[in-house]
Order: sequence, then structure tokens, then C-alpha cells
Amino acid sequence: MPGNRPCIRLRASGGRIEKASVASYGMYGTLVNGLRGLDYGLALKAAEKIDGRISHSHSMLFALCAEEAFSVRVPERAVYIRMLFAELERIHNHLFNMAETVREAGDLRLFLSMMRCQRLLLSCLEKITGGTIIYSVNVIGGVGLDISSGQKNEIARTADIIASRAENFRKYFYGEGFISGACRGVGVLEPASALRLSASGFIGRASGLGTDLRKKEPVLAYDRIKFEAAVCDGGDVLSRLKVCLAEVKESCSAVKQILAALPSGAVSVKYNIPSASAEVLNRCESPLGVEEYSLSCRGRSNSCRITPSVFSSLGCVAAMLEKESEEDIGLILSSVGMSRRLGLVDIEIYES
Amino acid sequence: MSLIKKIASSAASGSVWILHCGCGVCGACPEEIVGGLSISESRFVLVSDRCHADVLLVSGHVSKAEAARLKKIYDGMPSPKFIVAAGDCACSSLRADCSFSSLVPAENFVRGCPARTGDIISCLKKKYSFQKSKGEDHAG
Repeated sequence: MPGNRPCIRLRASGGRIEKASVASYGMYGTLVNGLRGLDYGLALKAAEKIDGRISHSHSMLFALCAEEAFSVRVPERAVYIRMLFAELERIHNHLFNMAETVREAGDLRLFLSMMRCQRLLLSCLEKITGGTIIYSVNVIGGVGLDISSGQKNEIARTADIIASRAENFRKYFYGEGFISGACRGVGVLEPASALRLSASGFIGRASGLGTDLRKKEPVLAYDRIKFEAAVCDGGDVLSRLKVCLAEVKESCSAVKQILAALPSGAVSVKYNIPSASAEVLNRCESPLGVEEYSLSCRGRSNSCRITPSVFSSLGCVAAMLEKESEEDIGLILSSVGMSRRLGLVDIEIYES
Repeated sequence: MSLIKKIASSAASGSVWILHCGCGVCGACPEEIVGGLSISESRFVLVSDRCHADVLLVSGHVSKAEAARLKKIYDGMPSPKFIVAAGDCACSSLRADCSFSSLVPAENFVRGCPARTGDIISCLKKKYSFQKSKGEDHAG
């Protein structure tokens, strides 16, 4: 009986994986149409639960689609607050992925150090929003909370601490240390395979694809923020760690810029649902890849189709696992944000 | 009681070994559990083998297929043992499942979306006396 989770099927011989393929997408297959027919407010809340790790990106994308369909102009302050939380979400996701990867590689001290760094940010988010991982910031027409000057200072202070600690983590990934040795050349995704499998987000950038939707198709106010898209061409676990670390530092810098440029004014506007039908397609760069929402509205009824980044990520993971040792499965899964300890993906191994 | 038995009793009563089973796809509860418990008090240890586990910590929606797997895991755990459901998905689905509803008492449901680490720890601490008696059983 198929479970809730996506499943990757491996054929192994003598401890080495010969073939890997995606056997099922689990619950994601049904979640594609999970928001169809729901009330817009309820659909926004449901979108947050599609992937709890990137809850803000999902709800923001649904809100952007709905606002475009309703021709609602979101206040500038709300745009900046959305961008701020998107970058904070990127930081805590990348820190978690890096921590789980170094733990699988065997460095518990670095794991604890990164995890403490992540919890520092989560406790800051909890103070501001009341939630740690799912923080329900977005509403259709803006955001549901405002940021005071005290909270601005706290976020800036946390971003500074994380940026300085990220600088310390650098020495573990560059040079000839223990982590570099354990992660170099493991789980390689060649650039040609990455392109064929539509790798997006940090997985694609670690394989040399320099596509960052924040730069290529800037939503929100990303065209007014200076940041570099981190790209590595190794395609292995170490390259993914390097890209994540570089993105953490860039996001910390982006957070400081957003806080400095935060305009004053209202954070949300009221909206009316037009009776005319509209169709909107929107996509954005979430911490785990590119998420795509297609929304078609007819009055109060909506039909929303989601293409989550996990579809392409699973194909990439299957390609990474081929020709690798069974012992490296945990390391490879952690490097793409699907740590075995999270229980997000099932692995079935058959001996040939 | 010999000195070795006393030490064994003290050690077993002071630590809770937790087997975490993520059943769903959202990932928020597992992230909270893995991240929070890893850096919390060192006596809460996340293990990956059911033979060593005292507590089965369940997160995510438990479907029929997942319930069958959980039952196998739970049956394989050494006694005394208990189940904690973390998060709204696990709480509601375990309560609805006939095979588990009798195994999970009301105080073992940790509500929240996602369930907070602090709430999970306080639930586990309530079981501390249970764990302590287990340690004495093992030693004695």
C-alpha cells in the first residue's frame, strides 16, 4: 500500500546503487490540486501547509496570484515585509539543510553549532510572528502584521550574528578539512543532467546553472536589492553546502538592506472579488527551488494548480544516487533538504 | 542493590530515548522536533533503532499504510514504552485510528501546527517518573 511520502526505488548490488528511480510522489500528487474549490482566505492558509518548511513562499505565491487576478495593488511596506520573511525563511532552511548534511558527514560539533544558529533565528521569528516555522504573515492584499522599530533592531542583530557565524563555517567547507573530504565527489549532478531534470534553486546553482528567479524574473522588490546569485559547478554535496552557505550570507545582507529601505505606510488594503474570470500564472524562487502556481478565478470559485519544486528535486535525487554507495544515501538526501530524520521520503532498496 | 545496578538505574532513569517517525509530507513538525530536541537537554536522545527506543514520537498524518508500519515499529520496541503524537495532523489521525486510539492517552497528544519543542519536552518530562520506574525495573 503506498504511503504518504514520495518513494525512491533503488536497485543495488554489493552496496553500490545501480539504478534509482522515483516510484511515487506520495501525497504531493494529490496536493497539486489541493487548493481547488476552497474559499480564497482558506486556500491561503492551506497553501502554508503544503510544505511547512517553505510555508511563507507558498502562501506568498498564492496571495500574489490572487492579487493579480483581483487587480489589487499591495502597499510598498507589505511588499518589503514579504521579502524580508522570504529571506529569513531562506536562511533558516539553508542552515537546517547544512546542519543535517554535516551531521550525516559525521561532524556533530558543527551540526550543533549550525542548529543553534538556526534556533536563534526561529526564536526571533517566534517573538515577531508567534510561530516558528509556519508564521502566517501573508494575507490577500498585503501582510497581516507590521514590524516595529524594536523588532527591526532585533532582526538586524540576529542577521549580524548569523552572518558572522556563517563566516566561521566557511573554513569547514573550503580547504582540505574533514567535511570537504567527506562531501567532495559524492552525489554528483552533472550540469547537463541538472538541465534535463529541470533542477532549480540551490540544487541547480550547485550544478552550475546560474538561474536565480529573484534576479531573472524579480517579483516583490528584488530588483531594488543588491545580492549575488551563488553558483558552483561541482554538482556534488560539497558544492551544495557552499551554495547554501553563500546564500545565507547574501540573505543576511539582503535582510539588512530591506530593513534599511522599509517604507512607511499601511501593510494591507481591502479588496473585492471581481465577478469577471481571470487566469494568472506566477512562480517564485523558494529556498528549496522554484514553486509555480496557476490560478484561475471565476467569481468566488477558484481553481488552483500547484507545481511544487519537490517534483524536480526528486528526479535530481534519483540521478544523484545512481552509482553511489548505499552508505552515502543519508548524506545525499540531507544535502537537498530531504534528511532521513525528517521522514519526508521513503527509500526502497532491492538487491539485484 | 550493587553499585553497578545503582549506576545503571540512575543512567536509565535520567535519559529518554526517542524514535521519531515522520509520517507526512509537510516537514514543519519534523524540523521542529529534530532541530529542537537536538539542542535541548541532552537526556532526550533521538535514536534510529526501535530496539533502543523508549518513546515513539509520531508526526504527520497517519494514513492506513503508515499506521500499519507504526504498529510494527511499536510492537518491536522493548517495554515499557509509550507513544507521543506531535502536531495537529498526528493527533487527529491517531485519535481516529482504532489500532492506536487505545494506546495513546490524552496527555500524550501535543497539539500545535507545528508542535513546539517546549510542549513536546514538557510532555516527555511528565513521563519522567514512568521512565524512572523503568530504570529501577531494569536494574532490579
